[in-house]
Amino acid sequence: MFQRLKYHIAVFFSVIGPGFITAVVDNDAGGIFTYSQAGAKYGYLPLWTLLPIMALLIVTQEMTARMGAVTGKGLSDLIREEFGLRTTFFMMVALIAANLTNVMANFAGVASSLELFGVSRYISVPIGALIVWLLVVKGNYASVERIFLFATLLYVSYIISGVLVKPDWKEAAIYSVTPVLLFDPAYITLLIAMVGTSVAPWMQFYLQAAIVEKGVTAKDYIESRIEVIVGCVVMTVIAFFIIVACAGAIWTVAPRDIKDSTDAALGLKPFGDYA
Amino acid sequence: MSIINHLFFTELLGLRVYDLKGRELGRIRDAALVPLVDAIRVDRFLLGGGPAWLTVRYDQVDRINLDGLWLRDELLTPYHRDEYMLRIGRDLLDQQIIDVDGRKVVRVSDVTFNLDSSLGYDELRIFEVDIGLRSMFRRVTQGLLPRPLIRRLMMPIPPNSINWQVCNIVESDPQRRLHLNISHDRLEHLHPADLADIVEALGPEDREAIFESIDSEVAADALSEISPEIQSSILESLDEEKAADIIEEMSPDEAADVLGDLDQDTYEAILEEMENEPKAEVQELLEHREDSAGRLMTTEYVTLLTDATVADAIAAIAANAEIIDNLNTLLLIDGDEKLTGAVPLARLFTVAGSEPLAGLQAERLLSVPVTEKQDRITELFDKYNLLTLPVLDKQKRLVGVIHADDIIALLRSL
Repeated sequence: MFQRLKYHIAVFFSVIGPGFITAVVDNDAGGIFTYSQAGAKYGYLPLWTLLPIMALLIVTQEMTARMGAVTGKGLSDLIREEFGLRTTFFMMVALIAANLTNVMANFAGVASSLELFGVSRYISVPIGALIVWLLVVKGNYASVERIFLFATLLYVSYIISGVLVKPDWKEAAIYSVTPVLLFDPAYITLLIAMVGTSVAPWMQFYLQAAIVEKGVTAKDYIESRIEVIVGCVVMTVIAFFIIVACAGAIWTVAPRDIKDSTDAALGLKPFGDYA
Repeated sequence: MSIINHLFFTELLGLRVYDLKGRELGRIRDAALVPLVDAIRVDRFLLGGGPAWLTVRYDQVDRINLDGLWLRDELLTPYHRDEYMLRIGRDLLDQQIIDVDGRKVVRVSDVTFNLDSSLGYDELRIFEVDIGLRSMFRRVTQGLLPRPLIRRLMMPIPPNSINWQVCNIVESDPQRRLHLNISHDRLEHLHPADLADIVEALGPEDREAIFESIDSEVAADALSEISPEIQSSILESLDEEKAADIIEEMSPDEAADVLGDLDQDTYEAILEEMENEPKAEVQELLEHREDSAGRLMTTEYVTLLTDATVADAIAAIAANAEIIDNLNTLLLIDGDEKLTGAVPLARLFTVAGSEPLAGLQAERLLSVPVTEKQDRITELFDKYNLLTLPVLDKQKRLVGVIHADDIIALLRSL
């Protein structure tokens, strides 16, 4: 039994690579917070954005993966070759700023999630930073990839909690394909935030670099394409379940704002300790 | 206006061009060399103002400085055909080139020209390719600040430039390589391992371009230093004939390694093109299991009969000059090709030429069967500090040797 499990895990690791990881890890603390917020405040209404987001994500991710496989060069190298150094420079400045906010959002996630377990943020954040620093400086690409892959398995818990809260599946299904636009500034901002957190700039740079690093060529690109698309679909499914879970647990009781990802996790608490 | 003796390409871009009456005609948009005529002189300045670009030939220029370019001949022609031109802005800036001296691939940020006035009018000659922070600073501020101010502000940043003489442009189109007089000859003098690193840093098209145009022997040496995935992609992109030429130049064990990783179609196509003798050797090696001694060993070694003398040994080494660099042990065999002893090469120097080799043998004679597992072999190398390990077939006949460098490569690939 254990042997078989080990075998399945081995197959999973060998088939799945950068395309899958990048898309799934896209549901980071910021992403989870945004989706929870959407579900808690507007219930099933924002679900329709997920399909266009998925299409957008597949297009951008597939494109960068293809560029990496064909040219064997990173995204910033290609931008520099095509648009010159100055454009690249300002693009990189923007990327650093975007990444910085992304990193802050994730550390906020670390702080608030561990406070749920009674760990002070003044302890959890430095420790988190130390682990990240060690991974960046001492870890190699393969080990980081393994850790990411393991992390992606944790997302299964969202699907479970999505089912546990017994949401209104019919309504969820209808609103997944029915665009609803409220002329409420908060709603519009939320939709923009959902797109922004789903299609983040670091993903394209990371994916293309990983594809180049892995030595994927135009000939065996088809596998990477499938992997990218599957990853994007899985990412969307997880996002769907996060929204549905929060809609089922919080919105149906009393629609409200949630302040951070802990708030969301706490809202789900009556339905399971895994949230 | 102070007199300058050099000009950066970033300063040349956007420079105003004035006719004989001092009226402005437009601004410089690019500059080009015509390498078949002169390898370093800027031959054309491309001038934009109206809807079409005009061409200023080098002999139509009077003066160039940070304020503008003054013509001495106004008969400018429209710019169209450019297959013989190496356009600096389009073909060089932000592209990868090979620094042959520094043995690495770099990306061009700017180009430094020498301003030569010795003929009574100004000519630009390409001097250096700039890659450092200083040139990047120029690129970012170019056109936003006055040229003299940029020169002053950049002074605290240390320069980082490569002499044009040691720059090798990589061009993947063979037709354009001819037109632009680009060759990869200089790359052939690099150490194969350095060339391998350079090739790995480039994209697939450029890799192919280099392997297409360099000597097969150099290509073979470099190819065996390249990582397996890239090896396969290079061989699959070359035409079979060239690929076969390169494989033939490799030692049989390395050739077998490379061929073993290829997809079936390419593998057969390359084998088809190979000469009979190396083909047979490689095929024989490929019959052994992937993780066995048979796949690790090479069939290139020097053997002598048990009763040979030191003088015979030296003659035998001289006859095998092509493998001399990798030779550290001579193997002794009897009439049935059975292994009887091993002589470390250095021991030959300690005695006279008439001495028998048998007296110089290493005390312990180790060997492995051709089916031995690779992890067991690495263990032996580690335990007994081996440089060479003979491999025997079922009948105990010598069929190959494993070298320490094969073991290092094997361990690195785990």
